[in-house]
Amino acid sequence: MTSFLDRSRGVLLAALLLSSSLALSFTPWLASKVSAVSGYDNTVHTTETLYTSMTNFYIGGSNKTCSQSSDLSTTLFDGIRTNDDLFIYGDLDMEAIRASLDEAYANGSYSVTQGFVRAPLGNGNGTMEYILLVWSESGDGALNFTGSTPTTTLNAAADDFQFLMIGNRPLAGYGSVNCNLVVTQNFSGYNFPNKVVSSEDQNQTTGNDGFYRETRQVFVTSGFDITYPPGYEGTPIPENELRRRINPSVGYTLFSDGRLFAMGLSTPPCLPVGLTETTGCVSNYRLIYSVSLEDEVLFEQTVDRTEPFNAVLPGYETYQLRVQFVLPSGPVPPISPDVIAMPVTFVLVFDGTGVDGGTIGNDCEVVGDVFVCEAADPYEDCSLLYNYVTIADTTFPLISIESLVCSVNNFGLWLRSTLISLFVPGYSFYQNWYQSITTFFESKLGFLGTSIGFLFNLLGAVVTGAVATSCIIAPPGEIFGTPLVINVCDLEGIIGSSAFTAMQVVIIGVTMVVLITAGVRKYFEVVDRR
Amino acid sequence: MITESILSALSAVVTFVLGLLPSLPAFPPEVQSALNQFATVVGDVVGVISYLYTPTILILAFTILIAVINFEAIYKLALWVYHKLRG
Repeated sequence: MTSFLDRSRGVLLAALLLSSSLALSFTPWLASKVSAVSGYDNTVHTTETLYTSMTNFYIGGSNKTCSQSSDLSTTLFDGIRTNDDLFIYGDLDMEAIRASLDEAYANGSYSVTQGFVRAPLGNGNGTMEYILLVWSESGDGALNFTGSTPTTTLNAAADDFQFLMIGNRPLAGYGSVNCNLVVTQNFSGYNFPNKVVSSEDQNQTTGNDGFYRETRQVFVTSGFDITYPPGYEGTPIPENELRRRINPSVGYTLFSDGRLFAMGLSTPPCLPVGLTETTGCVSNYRLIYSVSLEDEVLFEQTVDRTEPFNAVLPGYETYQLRVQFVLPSGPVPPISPDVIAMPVTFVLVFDGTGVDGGTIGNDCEVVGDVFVCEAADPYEDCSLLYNYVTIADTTFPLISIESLVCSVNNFGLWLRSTLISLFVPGYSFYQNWYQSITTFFESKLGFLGTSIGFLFNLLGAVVTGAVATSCIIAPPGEIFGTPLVINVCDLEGIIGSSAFTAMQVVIIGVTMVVLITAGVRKYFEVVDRR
Repeated sequence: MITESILSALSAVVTFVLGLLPSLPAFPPEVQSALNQFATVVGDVVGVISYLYTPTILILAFTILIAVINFEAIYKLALWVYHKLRG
């Protein structure tokens, strides 16, 4: 009977182990199948530069070679505004368009797409190449993902949405345009100006008629507000070079004992002309670091870009580390016509587990005018260590020894942080607990509590005064109806900075001489007495 | 979690027990206000001194001052350690 029970237990255990192993093996595969992936990942295709314009294209029913400028980008803004050789087609109020475009150019609220179409036009293969320029004079332009797989689109929208198309394809049925580029709002029947790019406009096919067709529509740049769909892993939309977002590049290490070390990486912000006295990249900037818990700032420090920031987090909590540029001329304005200088905010989960993080390698995204980086995950991604086996064209992950070790390590980290959170209260708990106890004792002990509180207040004021220097003494009372305020910094302004420094040196020197003399006299006094 | 529960229970017990006793009378608000103002002015004065001396020099000077005032006790302690080390 006993051996039967033993055998049953053995079989049960083996079955349990087998099913667990299978479940573990298939979990990542299943997870990959069911995990949410954005259906818009194939919408955006980009190019860093505008295509070189062709010189051989189709005009009025026949191929023609033009000596036209090969760079479409030269016509984009300055060209549209100043080039009189442009062929304006349609009833366009170019004066109003140019004024509006100036505004959009100044606030960066424009978006540029390049399109290329090769299609059977007229009596042969024709090509069309154009730039789609959309803008918002008021600066409220937005890009939205719409549609559903397989046809997804990036649409531009704005209350004062405007657009132009600039291209080399003469209009259907229109005669020679002397190879000049055409500016129009109705380019060969293309009348979907808000469709900036689309997943369906990336085709290369040969139709039944034997003609080769090719469509490319690629994104060049955008200054419109962008909301990426959840889980989006497609190509990021390139942002305007003109109105660029800059954020400090920072790395940090949070040690398991709460010590925080952060430092700016050696990437100077490159700012457009006009923001600073110097142009180009600024190398002598500083960074403001601040650590806060909920809304309370615990530490704040301004340091040179080459210096590190150090702090000790007081307890197991979720903190925010915020880093912002300070240029020699002062803090960078958050938003200017040329630049959006974003502070970087890191979410730091301090639970006794050491982590490294920063703007590089973290999951960071633009939220409003702040570059927010999620907490660095202390756990290693063990799925990267799986082995894979392919059976009948299907690849299955298999647990490897390394992935098992990785899982055990992760479990150890989890156990540690769980035990710590079980036994060590968070900083805010201590704060609230101390506050409630203090309040209770103050009300209960009456004048005794006030006396003890006064001693603590006095000590706190002395320590704060010693650490955070101040120029102002504001005793209570008034003189001739004016509050009495003594401002020592005014003295520096009156006698001059160098004289003030000399005075400081004299005061410090006299103090040190007096103290050292007193020490020596005390020494001889004590020794002589003995 | 566990420590939080223990501390909360402790404060609840102390609050309950002391809550049974009558409260002592408080200082008049004018006195409390004057004490707070005094602490603020002292803090201001220390801040200005720190501005003149710089925080580092101030802490150094303060340390030397403490050492000078307690020189005899420190001297005795040093001699005691010295004699102990010599055996």
